[in-house]
Amino acid sequence: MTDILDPYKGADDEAYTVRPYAVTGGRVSGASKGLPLEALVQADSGAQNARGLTPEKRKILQLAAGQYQSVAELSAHTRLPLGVVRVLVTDLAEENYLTIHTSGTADDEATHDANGGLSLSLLESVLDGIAAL
Amino acid sequence: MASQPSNATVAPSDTPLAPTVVKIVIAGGFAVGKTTFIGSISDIDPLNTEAAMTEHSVGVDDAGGVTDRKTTTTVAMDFGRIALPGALWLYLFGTPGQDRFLFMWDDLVRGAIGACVLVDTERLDQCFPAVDYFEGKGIPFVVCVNCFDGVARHKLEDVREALGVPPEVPMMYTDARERSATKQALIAVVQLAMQRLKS
Repeated sequence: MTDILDPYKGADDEAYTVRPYAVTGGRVSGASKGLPLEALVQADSGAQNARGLTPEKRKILQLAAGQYQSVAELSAHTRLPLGVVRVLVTDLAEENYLTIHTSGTADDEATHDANGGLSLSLLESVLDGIAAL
Repeated sequence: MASQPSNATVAPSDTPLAPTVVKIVIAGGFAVGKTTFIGSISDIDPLNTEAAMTEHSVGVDDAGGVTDRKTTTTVAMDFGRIALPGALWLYLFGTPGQDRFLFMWDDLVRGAIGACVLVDTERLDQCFPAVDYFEGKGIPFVVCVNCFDGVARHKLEDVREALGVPPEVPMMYTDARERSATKQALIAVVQLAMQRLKS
């Protein structure tokens, strides 16, 4: 049984059969290429109800509605390849449906030096945090 | 699973302060215990994502135990997440099990604190690609000898010699099933990264 509005419904154990290039409208990477796997994405609650969204975009907005989800988590939950999720997330951010947060990632100049190394103060916080687990 | 709002992730949509995210890469050979390691300390059950699509992986991909997918034209990797105090999220990314997926590692390690190489002394050669890669890229890494049954079969110095890693690379025993052991391994990675920064 296929629900045309939600192809994921009841399809948890089935393979995703739409070609990745169809999902992304033929585009491969471009601006989305550098988007870190761990970058967090957050959408406004209700954003998934907007008109004209593809099922894949709708699903991403649903997952990130009012909560933070990393690009990697979105990929795992939607069962879409990382590259596809990167393109869709970048699209959705450009269309103002969601916000991408890269604090702490290699894209964040406040926490990384020019060589991509993390700042000492951030590492100290991480160390204290793990030690307290 | 798809709509699991764990407490740590819930935030009002207008919250200006997103968590700061950092990551540590967990590397090692096929079935050395990477997913177990991640699962022992992650807040969430390890998730599985597809990192690339290639015909070459058909039928032989290490899907890290998640093999219900019918399309096998994927490279899968497992990851977990730990919420730390101060709105800090630590992601643990397991590398795809086989060295022919090394091309993906650049993506994984970009911005990472460092890496932990899990070693099974019965199949020492499986961790060579990881050691080579991190050495070549200058990424801080520690070597963790996984003791599956709680018994250390080899001296750390013997393993060091066999792997050919220099003395400044920390080596330790670990038990991928034990949260306290994996925690020590993660601490060692962060300490090494800090040491590097200070020197």
